[in-house]
Amino acid sequence: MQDQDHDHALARPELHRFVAAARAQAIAGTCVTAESVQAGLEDARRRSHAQRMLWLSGTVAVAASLVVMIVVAPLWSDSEGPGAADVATKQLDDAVHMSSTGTPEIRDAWSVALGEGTHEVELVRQHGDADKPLRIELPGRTLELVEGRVTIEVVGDEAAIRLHTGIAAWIGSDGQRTEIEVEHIELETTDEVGEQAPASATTLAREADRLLAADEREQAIDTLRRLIETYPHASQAGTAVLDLARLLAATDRESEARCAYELYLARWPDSSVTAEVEAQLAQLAEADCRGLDLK
Amino acid sequence: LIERARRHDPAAQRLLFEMHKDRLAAQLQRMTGTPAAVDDLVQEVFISAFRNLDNFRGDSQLGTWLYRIATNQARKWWDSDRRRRRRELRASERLPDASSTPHEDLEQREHHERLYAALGSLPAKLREAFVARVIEGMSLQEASAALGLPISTVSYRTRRAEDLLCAALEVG
Repeated sequence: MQDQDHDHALARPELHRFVAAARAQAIAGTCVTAESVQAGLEDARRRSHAQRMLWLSGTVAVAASLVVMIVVAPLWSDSEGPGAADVATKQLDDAVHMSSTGTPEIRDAWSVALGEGTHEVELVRQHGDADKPLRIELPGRTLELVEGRVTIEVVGDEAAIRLHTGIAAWIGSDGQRTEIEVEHIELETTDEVGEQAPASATTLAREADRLLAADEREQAIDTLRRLIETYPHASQAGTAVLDLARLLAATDRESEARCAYELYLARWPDSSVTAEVEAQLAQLAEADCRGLDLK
Repeated sequence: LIERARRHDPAAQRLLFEMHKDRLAAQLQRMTGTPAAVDDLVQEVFISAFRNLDNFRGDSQLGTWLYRIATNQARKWWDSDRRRRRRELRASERLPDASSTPHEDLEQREHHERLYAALGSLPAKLREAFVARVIEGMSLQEASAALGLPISTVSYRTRRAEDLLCAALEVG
């Protein structure tokens, strides 16, 4: 990439000399060899195998304990009902809906620890439920979800959350609660008389961002289409068309991607990214625009 | 080649490593500004890549996928204790002899140091967008694909990073 292209990306000329210094740094290269990578890979595999074995033994031990409890507990007391482990599992299953790209660690009926990944957690209150909150342990922080739906993204030691609906709070080390504001208006919310409230362009753009982050591509495509069709003159429409084109191209729908790129060029002929869009178009397989009928 | 590497074929893995190592090392140096950190990070990126090749769906270039892994590894580096050690490394690196170094080189080095110190104070997401778009020189489309983000988000984060950098560097 040429310097002038770099400069085009830089909106603050005050930074130019700093950026120029970063670009001019002499690249030292690497002394790492394929052999050292393969040795590291073997080490990592061995460690992973050892951890799996440890986990497996732990699971077997827990399973054995559960079997013992299920078999022995009724003998201790016929009137106590199901075992504690059953109750814990059942309460979590009934009240909490969770989808996750990682492996949640369920600690008890109302406590779960989340590691690396993207996690969607929804706490649905059933009639007669006590208002016991769900405690969510994140790296270095604790979140309390009273009700509603939250998206949590954990990367390394960082956790970012977005509360879509409901009530949640951070719990400080002193037990102090800091309530979290709802950041996102649900697309499917209804007003007081039960009619569907139209989602704003901003709401649709945020929803598309969330779906893209969660790698829910088909839903992201639908949402971007809605945004483009409902709000063709909104400030978000241009980038939505580009995101839609990129997604379609990434899912091998090149004819539709072509439509989206062509639509962008037609609607925003003087855009600063025209050259990039034309380059993307040139990379698509030879095909006519078809399949994407945007209003 | 990727299929063979997925099946743990050492020759295929070696070839993939040789094809991508230099570009990746350069990217990691531009992400961290620290040549001394590059070897460890290159090693970690390739180990992670080879362990997770099954997750590479092939809907992007392998280089783009590796860039995303490199971004994650660099984020851990910035967030870990190594950020503290980085200052020590910098201090122990031999400074050029001022008497034989042109003024411009010293100035450039100072700008480089200040920029990366300021980058270290940015939230990771803003830093990553800025590095990809401004230092790495990717187009909006390329940065969007490399970071797995919508174009609008890349654009917004880059602008926000620039504002914060201007404040941190006390310019503008």
